[in-house]
Amino acid sequence: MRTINIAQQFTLTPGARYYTDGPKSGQEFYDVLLKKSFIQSLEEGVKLKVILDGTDGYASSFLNEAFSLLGNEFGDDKVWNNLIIISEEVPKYIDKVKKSVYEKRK
Amino acid sequence: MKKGNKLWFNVIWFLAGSFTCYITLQYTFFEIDAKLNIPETLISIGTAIIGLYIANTIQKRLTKNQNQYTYVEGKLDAIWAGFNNFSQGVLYNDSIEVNVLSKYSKEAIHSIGFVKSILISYELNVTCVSELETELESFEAYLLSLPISANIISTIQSKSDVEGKIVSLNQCFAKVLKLIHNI
Repeated sequence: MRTINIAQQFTLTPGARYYTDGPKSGQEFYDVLLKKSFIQSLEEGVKLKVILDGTDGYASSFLNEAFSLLGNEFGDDKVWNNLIIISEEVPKYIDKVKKSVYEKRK
Repeated sequence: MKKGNKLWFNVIWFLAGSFTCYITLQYTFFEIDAKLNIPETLISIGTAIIGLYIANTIQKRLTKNQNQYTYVEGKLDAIWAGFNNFSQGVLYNDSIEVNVLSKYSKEAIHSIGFVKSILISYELNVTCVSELETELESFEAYLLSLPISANIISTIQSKSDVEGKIVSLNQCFAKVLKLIHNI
């Protein structure tokens, strides 16, 4: 299993949606870390564990951008079946991630 | 009151008390019956025990409800106070950092979820809590839809909208408080 710990590998203070909104955006997280790790986990035939705990909190747009990009790029069911989201501090983030994965982008 | 006046005052009340006792003792029901009436005594004891049991049960229920009320009300107070601080910051400044918003949302979402679970366990209708939860999430999404640069949200162009949403959220908090008062 591959693991991404956002607090340790990306930032303690995630930003908003787009690069234009400022540093450490959802788009940046997708490009820099999430997409690559997901591809590697698919190649290795293992699941990708994403740990959301440890940060100051997430803007809903950050999670939505990163995970809706992933879902639309690789297919919603395929993404959701290969992800393990850990969010013990705010379990509701898991629901937000799931909704984002299944969201159809225009 | 002077010492002499106090003495006369006490003497008058003593005489009045003695007179009242004398009058009342003239009635037969104050006479003590030396014979023991077993059935009446048992009925009296039984009635007293039932009375004590009822009083104790009611008191326990009142105490339990009071504890639940105090606990949940304390939680809601903390969330509302947090929202108040956050919203005042949004209103007085013309901008807000994304990080401050995320931090507040994290605390608020988690805490309201907790209060909701407690109220569900009390078998109360939690529609207004769900409404508050949804409104808070919508407010966060609304703020994130405003112009953002360097992770700072500019609220200057939308002050009146923001103010309206804050008023609406405060009304939601008031509804939840009313629900807690029904515990």
